[in-house]
Amino acid sequence: MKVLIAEDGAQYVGYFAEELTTDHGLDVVVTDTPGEAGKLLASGQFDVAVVDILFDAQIAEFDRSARSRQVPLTASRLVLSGLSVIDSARKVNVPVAVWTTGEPNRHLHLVFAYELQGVRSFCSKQAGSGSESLHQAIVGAAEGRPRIDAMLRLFLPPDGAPALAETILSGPASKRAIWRALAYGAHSRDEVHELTGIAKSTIGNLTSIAMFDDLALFDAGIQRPNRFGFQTRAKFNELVRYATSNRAFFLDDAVRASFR
Amino acid sequence: MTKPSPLIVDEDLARHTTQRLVGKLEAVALVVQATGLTTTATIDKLMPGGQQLLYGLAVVHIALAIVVLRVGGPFRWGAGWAGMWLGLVFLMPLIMAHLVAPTQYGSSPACVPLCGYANGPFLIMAFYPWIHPRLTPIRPALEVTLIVALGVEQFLLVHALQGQLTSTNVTSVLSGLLGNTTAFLVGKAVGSMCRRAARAQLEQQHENYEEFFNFLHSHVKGSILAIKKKGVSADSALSQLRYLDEVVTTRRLQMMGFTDNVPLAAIFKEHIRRFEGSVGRAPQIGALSVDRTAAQLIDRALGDLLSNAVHHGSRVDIDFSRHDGLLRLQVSDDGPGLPDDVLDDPSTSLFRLRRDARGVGGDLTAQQAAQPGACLVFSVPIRIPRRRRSGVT
Repeated sequence: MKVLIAEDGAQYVGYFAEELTTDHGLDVVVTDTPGEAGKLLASGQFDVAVVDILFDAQIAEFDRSARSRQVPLTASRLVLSGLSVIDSARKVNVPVAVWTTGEPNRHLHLVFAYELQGVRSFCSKQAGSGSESLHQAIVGAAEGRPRIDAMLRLFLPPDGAPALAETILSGPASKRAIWRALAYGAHSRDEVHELTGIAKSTIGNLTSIAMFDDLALFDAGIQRPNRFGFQTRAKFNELVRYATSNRAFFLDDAVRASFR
Repeated sequence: MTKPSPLIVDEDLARHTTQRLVGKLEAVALVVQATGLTTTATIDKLMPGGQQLLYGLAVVHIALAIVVLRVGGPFRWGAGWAGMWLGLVFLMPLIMAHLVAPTQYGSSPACVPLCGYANGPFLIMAFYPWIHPRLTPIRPALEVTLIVALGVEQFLLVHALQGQLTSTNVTSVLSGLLGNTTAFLVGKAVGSMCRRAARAQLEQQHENYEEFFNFLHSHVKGSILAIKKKGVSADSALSQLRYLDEVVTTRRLQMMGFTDNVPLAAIFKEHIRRFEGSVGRAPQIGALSVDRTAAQLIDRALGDLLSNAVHHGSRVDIDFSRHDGLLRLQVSDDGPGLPDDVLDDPSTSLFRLRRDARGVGGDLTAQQAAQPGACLVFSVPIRIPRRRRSGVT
């Protein structure tokens, strides 16, 4: 079986690739960039793709250019992540196993991969002490069997929970544009308007009602402003906090391509 | 690797903090100026057409305030625009000198007509970072010169209109100047407050960095040195790695509690990782976040219940559900079961956990398990009212 591993953790990926080859007889190719992974998958030579979610170099590059506003919000490339690699794998019918640490800032990526990209094999980098768990995830993906490590299962939504596409990513394109503007660094209605061109009254209406309600539906623990507070401002601040904590997701190229 | 930001209150940080804190103040200043114009138009004895002119100027100022609310004020847009606003400050005494009778200007010991017009611009000029950083050394001299120049202009106007300066004229001009200077000093106080706010933020961050640095030094570096020692055995190295794993997990859980929106799945993950080989069934929690107090209680509950279960059994199942604003965590094992009075024994951690859970509207109960073994159910509200949070230890 030929396996592509898209992973930038130089400290350990070599070790895992070697064990998969010597102990399990797999033919393993490693790449540390999602762009290169996409090109390799298009060649059609792989049976399974093992995909990391976030790549440090991509995030660092985006942070640098976003801080100086060199990259506009409407640029075709903002943050390239494992979700784009999964899309490339799906195009050529290569099954995918997601391999990640399961940090909170990858949570929405995991949910996206599960709900919208059909990934059912998830392996935690912190599982076990060798490559056995990863090997099982690869075999599970190849055979079409769901295989989800306990530590990553925690991040996936329970049955019947409102989905991303029904909540945060639902509705008109203006809502998603506002999320992106908030993730990009806009912290006021004026700044969102500057970045998106959406009318300030529309921004006010969407953030105080539809977007906040969507978020509260997706995450039932979201703090609702008390009855006597400045509700509109408090709701807006909550959306800013959420967008900032999950900026890599809202600005992700694959997410933007699927939900314009 | 992302570099941490430096801990310096530099000019950029101070400017940025000031702009963020007082963004809309220029609009307020314009409204105050409009109020002054309206009051003067209404109360003072003016030449024909003077009242209409001042009312008209008041309307223009209100319109400018609305524009400023949307696009930012003169000081925000730079020295050129700020200069235009300050120019109006010097133009207004000339206008008033023509609108009142020649003997009227400077005849009231209170102050000259429309003396408060300069207060808003002077207040903002005092703290707003409107001047280029390279010109900062000459800024105080520039500001004092402007205030003094306004006073000199008014003295010259009175002298030109009346041919002399009486003590009442001097008092009139100086009273107005006193008000302008007070506004300027208030502006300086505002600027000082903004810098102090930036500094306080950074001091807190500095403390956090220090504390984390000590943690890295004492625990992480220490363990790494122990592992790197020549002749260290594999068992000893593994023991150090386990210790390192444990302290890093504890630290991560602590840091999660720094915010008031803690992702629940992340707390579960850290505990399940500790007992990985023993956990059979784990729940799907999804996007749910909880407040800091609930997070602390759930962290404790997972620690106590999982330790207890793993200590007595070989397999632990964790179930989780949410209903009517309550989170319900069930931990069951295949061990010998629990003594009937374990939750009533004050010396046990389970007793203290139950006490704290009940204090915030939750509970800890022992349930009859379907199979032999122990089954404990811990419940806590998703969001704990503030008045109930302080009781949690």
